[in-house]
Amino acid sequence: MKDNVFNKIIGTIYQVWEKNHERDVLHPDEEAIAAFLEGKSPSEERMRIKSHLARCQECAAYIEMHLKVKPDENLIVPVEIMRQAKEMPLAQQSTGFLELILVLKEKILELISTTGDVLVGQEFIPSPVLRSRSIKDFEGKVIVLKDFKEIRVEIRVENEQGSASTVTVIAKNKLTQEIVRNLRITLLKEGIEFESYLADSGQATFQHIELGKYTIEISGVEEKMASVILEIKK
Amino acid sequence: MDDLQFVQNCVNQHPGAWEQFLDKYARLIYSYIHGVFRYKGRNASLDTVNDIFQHILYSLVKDNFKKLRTFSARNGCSLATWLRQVTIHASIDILRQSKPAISLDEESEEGFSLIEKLSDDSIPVREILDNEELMKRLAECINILDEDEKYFIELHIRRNIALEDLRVHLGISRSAIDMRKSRIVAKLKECFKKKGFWVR
Repeated sequence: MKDNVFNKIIGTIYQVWEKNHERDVLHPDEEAIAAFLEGKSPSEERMRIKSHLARCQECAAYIEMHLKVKPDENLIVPVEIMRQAKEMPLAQQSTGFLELILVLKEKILELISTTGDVLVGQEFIPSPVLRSRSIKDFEGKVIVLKDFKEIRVEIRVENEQGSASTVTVIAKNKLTQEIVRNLRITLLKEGIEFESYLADSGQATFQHIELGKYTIEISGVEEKMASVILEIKK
Repeated sequence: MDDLQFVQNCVNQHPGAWEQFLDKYARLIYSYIHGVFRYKGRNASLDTVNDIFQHILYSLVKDNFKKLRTFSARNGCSLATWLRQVTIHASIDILRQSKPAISLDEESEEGFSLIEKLSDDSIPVREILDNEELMKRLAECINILDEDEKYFIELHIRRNIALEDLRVHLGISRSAIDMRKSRIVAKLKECFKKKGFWVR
């Protein structure tokens, strides 16, 4: 029997063995893997990691990439992207904001850009993934989520099938997911307050929102907790 | 300045520390994102690479550098290797989330990859694939291998890592690698034979 055929048989049988084996759910973290790859892990840990990798497809894939990917060292990070990266810690220091830009079509909402995660099916997808999947059209409504320092904010924009939308803002404690009481949720357009609610239930709904650029501010008793920039275009 | 001190300067926001971090490591992160996509045969537009690059950097700085703070140079690992792992993890996770409905190297329900089935026209492999009972019996043979040998199969046979790359990774000589492979093959052939599968 040829070597490559025998290798294939071993590979196939190994897969069966792996599938019938109990999985070690304690995945080594990135630091453990990094030390392992550099040959710096203590021998006991090294053996534990090897043993894990021999059974865990997910982690073995990371090692495979490390060994196989040959990066192109001539690639240069675009100047504009580098500039934005340099400003990231500064942006983090402020309250931060969630941006959401949409185009309203007859029955569809087209997502132009967002800095939040977007609900697709049952899961929230980060915007880079969304772009790589070329997902931009949403039937009826778009739901976007973003974590701020203390709260998690969910924005639902529903198409009222005309030139107006309904916008619902839901805010929860980021860690416990409990409703945050005494929140004030305010809708502003060009700096002028449109509607404002004391949202004891942790949510507020703004109906018949026309096209335009809005700011939604979510404040606690003493301070602003989150800002949302919402632009709805035709 | 060692890596840990360098990271401490960043997370404590010493003037210019984050800029230095980017000057030193931005290209590494960027080129690995690109490399993972290219290796996986996925066409990543510049926008996608840029988005993932920002996503990774954002994950390092968000919540007051929560992720970057987890780097503690444990067991003396370097910041560059750690960042490479962070980048590979994030890129693969994004690829996993965005993979097409049917991937050629995605495992089917039975556990065999489609590519293996399609490319394989040898009769012995087909016989084994079709005989579930025999497969289970033969899989017991894997238990006779030690952890180093199982790891070798995972990387070399399952993931096609070249022997030369494995030699470097495992820090052993080429002859030791060749011997390890021969020993594994001999052990398995012997075991398969005992289980009623004759390998010439």
